[in-house]
Amino acid sequence: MECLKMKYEANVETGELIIRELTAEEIAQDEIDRKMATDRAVIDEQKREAKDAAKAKLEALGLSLDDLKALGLG
Amino acid sequence: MANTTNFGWETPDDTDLVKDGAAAIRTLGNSIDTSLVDLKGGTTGQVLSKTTNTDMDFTWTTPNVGDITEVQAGTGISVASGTGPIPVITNTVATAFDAAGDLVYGTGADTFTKLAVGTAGQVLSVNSGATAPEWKTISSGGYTLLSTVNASAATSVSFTSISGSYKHLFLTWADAGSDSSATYWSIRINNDSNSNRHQFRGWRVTSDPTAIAGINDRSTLLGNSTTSAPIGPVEGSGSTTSYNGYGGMWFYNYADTSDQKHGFWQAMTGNANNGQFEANMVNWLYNQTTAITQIDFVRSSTQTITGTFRLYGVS
Repeated sequence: MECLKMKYEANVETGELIIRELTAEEIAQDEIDRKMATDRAVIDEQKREAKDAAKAKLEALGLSLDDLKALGLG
Repeated sequence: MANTTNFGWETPDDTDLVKDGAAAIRTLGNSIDTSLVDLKGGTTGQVLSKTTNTDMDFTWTTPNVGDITEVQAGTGISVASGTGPIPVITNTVATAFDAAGDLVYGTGADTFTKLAVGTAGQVLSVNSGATAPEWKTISSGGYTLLSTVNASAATSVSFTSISGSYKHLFLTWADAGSDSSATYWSIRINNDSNSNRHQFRGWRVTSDPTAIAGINDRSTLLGNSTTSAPIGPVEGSGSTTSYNGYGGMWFYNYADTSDQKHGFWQAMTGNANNGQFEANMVNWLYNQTTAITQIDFVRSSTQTITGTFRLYGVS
């Protein structure tokens, strides 16, 4: 279970530092940010897996990335 | 025979007979008439002038054009006893000076005020409203520490109400660590979470000589976002076994309102668990022209952050 969501807020103009819990609005934005990061990480991982799979297929065919480049496909 | 005290006019004695009163009155009247004869006559505008030093010896004379009969105050002048006998004329500009180093400057048409001397090393400058001179301390062109945050297990670190008094901002973090690996932190400008406003491109160099790649190829490690600008993992594998991150981030011309905001950050982090260290060098862009007044650290997962964050204004 996650601990309290604490925000360190430094008011540069007044020099005041406030340590407080996130507001409901900030918690909502935090969840959006984290979901977006997770989604993008999944997409990136899928791309990486697809790339690795493609490279494995190439190797199974006895081809390399240099061979693709030689064919103008790389 | 009695006489008056000042002019010596003849008057009757107390014992004189009444029957001689008419003659006595006539004698007194003639004496007065003779004494005051010089006061008779004259014309409008003439003044009485002494003819000789003799008592009651006057002459009516017409003042010459240009003769001073009264002194009046003009701008910057004050007058006491303007009609004499001795007017005192004072330069009120001069009286505005009270101490060594005082300056007097105009505040409008025919008005002025005093500016007291500044402090050692200050130079005379024009105020922000371009309405008056002021003494100002010469900017050294250095860094001014605006705020320091020592965060402990924070979900978010935020710098708010940043004034536009400097040319650039420089943000540093030291001994900064996250409590979770494979997560990253981002910088969000002006609390703007709209998509496609924050962009970043850069390089990550690790202690593994083969692992030099563009950040987008390492997004799971260094983050990928369009609503904030990732600054990579401030490092963390959770706790004492990981090395914390040290870095600095520039916000160029942050107060400008005509250009998009941009900057550069670099950091060094390390992980004792796998013995690898990495350097991150990233250019970032916030494609809005509004001045930067707020900077937030945004997380990508449920990690918290601990460390010292310092925001500097650069003149």
